[in-house]
Amino acid sequence: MAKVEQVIYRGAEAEIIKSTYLGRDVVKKHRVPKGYRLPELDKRLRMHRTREEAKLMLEARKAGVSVPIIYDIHLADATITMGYLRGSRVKELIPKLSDDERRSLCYAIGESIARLHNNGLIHGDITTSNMIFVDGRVHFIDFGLGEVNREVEARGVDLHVLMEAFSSAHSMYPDCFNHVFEGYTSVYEGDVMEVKKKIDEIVRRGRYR
Amino acid sequence: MRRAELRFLFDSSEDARVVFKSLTPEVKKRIPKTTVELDFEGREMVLSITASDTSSLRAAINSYLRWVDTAFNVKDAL
Amino acid sequence: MLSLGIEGTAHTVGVGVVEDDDGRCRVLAKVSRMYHPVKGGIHPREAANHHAEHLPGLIKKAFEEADVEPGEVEVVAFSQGPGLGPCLRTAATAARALALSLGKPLVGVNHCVAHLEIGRGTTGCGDPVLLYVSGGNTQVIAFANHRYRVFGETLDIGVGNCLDKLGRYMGLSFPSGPAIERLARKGETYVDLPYTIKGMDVAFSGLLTAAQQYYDKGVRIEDVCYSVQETVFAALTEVTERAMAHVGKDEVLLGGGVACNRRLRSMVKTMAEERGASFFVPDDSLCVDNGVMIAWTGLLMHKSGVRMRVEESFVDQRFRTDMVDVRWRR
Repeated sequence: MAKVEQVIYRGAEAEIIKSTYLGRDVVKKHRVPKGYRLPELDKRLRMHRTREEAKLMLEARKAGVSVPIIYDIHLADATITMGYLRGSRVKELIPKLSDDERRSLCYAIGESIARLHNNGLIHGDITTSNMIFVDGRVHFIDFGLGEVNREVEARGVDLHVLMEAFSSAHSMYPDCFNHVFEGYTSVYEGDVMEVKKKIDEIVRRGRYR
Repeated sequence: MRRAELRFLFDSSEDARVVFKSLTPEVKKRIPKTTVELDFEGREMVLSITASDTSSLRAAINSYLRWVDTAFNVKDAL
Repeated sequence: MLSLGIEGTAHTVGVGVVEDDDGRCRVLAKVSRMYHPVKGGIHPREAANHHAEHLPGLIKKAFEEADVEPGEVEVVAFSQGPGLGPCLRTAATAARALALSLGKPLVGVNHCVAHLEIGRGTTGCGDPVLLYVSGGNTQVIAFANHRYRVFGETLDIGVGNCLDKLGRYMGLSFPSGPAIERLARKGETYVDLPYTIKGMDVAFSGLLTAAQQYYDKGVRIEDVCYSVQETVFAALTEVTERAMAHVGKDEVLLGGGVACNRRLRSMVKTMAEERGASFFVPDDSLCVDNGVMIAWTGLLMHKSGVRMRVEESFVDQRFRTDMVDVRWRR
């Protein structure tokens, strides 16, 4: 019997295909080749990112952060097959929430990021498009630009990405990132002021050089 | 402390006014380690610069002379 | 409506005169001079002296080229920032003197926003994501919630700066982008280089070091240039595409001096085609720093009611793109 596969989302980097795997609902994340990139560089990046993403998802789960279950990895085709999350993207959810709900959601996001950082994990692309809210928990997806890195710099950049995402996609809710940082502070095991200072530094630089 | 006073005599009070007003924001904004005052009356403009050391004074004089020149030459080019 | 603009944020001092042609920018005059450091990088005060020396002549030439009387200009615009302090202050002083002499209003323009507006004004795009790539600036900018917002940027050095540093290291002249582009066309072998993207941000210093090491080890200069271009431009194209997907826009615009590079253009164009988007790039002379884009943005600002008092026309070295109140767009 032919399997029904359908592209449900086309991102900048990958297409997400809804499918089934051993009778379960799954999504396949397939990193599509980019015509603008030199083929050898393109292949290197897509394979590397697929491998890193799968590895980091497993590590994140161990750290107590919700991520989809991985069923299969196909490196040559740059595809990861993972459990389908029946929930809503945080990006779409945020405008629908009350102030209190938004506050606690952001707080929980901050707690999860701190758990990642406490375990030396960097997500690399923390935006509200990459979080899915299911069963009262925020699930993180797309670890494709993540890495294992314990430097404060990497943590600052990780949070700065989210800060910029909030200020661009959710500029009408300027407090979001503060709530994220409160949650982060409550769980982070290192010196949180060091991270704060790093974020401020990243905001200052990167303008005119 | 080092202090320099520069007096500029223009052909017309209009020239003095344009140069004076063109420089006003640069006087308000200041440059490091210096205090600058600018005044004009009639055809004359007076620029006083006080600096903590000679090299700061020299740098400030150069900067403000550059801007006086710029403003005057732009007006003059029309 | 006629507008005159003065650009002077870094190496280039330029004057432009433009006219509003039913919402499109008609260029009447475009003159400029570029400061070339005797050796090494830019020296801000020397650059400012260079600009001070050339501005009066450039303004005169601009009026001649436009074939208009100075009094016909209705607004005088200047690059208010971001940029190098002494250069900005010199260009601003010239603009004030001009506005005061003519008795016309003065308006300060954000340099990065001007790169975007000149694209909208001359290429026909409406609501693009701008990849702005120059010596000092590397930003991905788009309009969102009444402002131009920076979605991605460099975390360390600007892309032009990266190319110039590599060029200087390998003995190429300044600016090195054009020489690197020529050499890259003769490149044959790709050598692996760091490809650093964090979200929608990029970083180049790791790549710069690695490229210098390849050169030291005797890798052909053509192959170094080729590999650097392929890697750096792919990373820039990728963050631009990510920003387009993130904000949901289907137009992409290039701006800044590095946008003159044909390889970068072809990559961004391919990316646009693959995602069904439209690609736009202004004329080379409007990609590099120029007075026209300042004149045009100043005109848009003035028409939308933006007013500035001469006494308060301070420059701002760190003038952020998202600080501008974009009244001329709804």
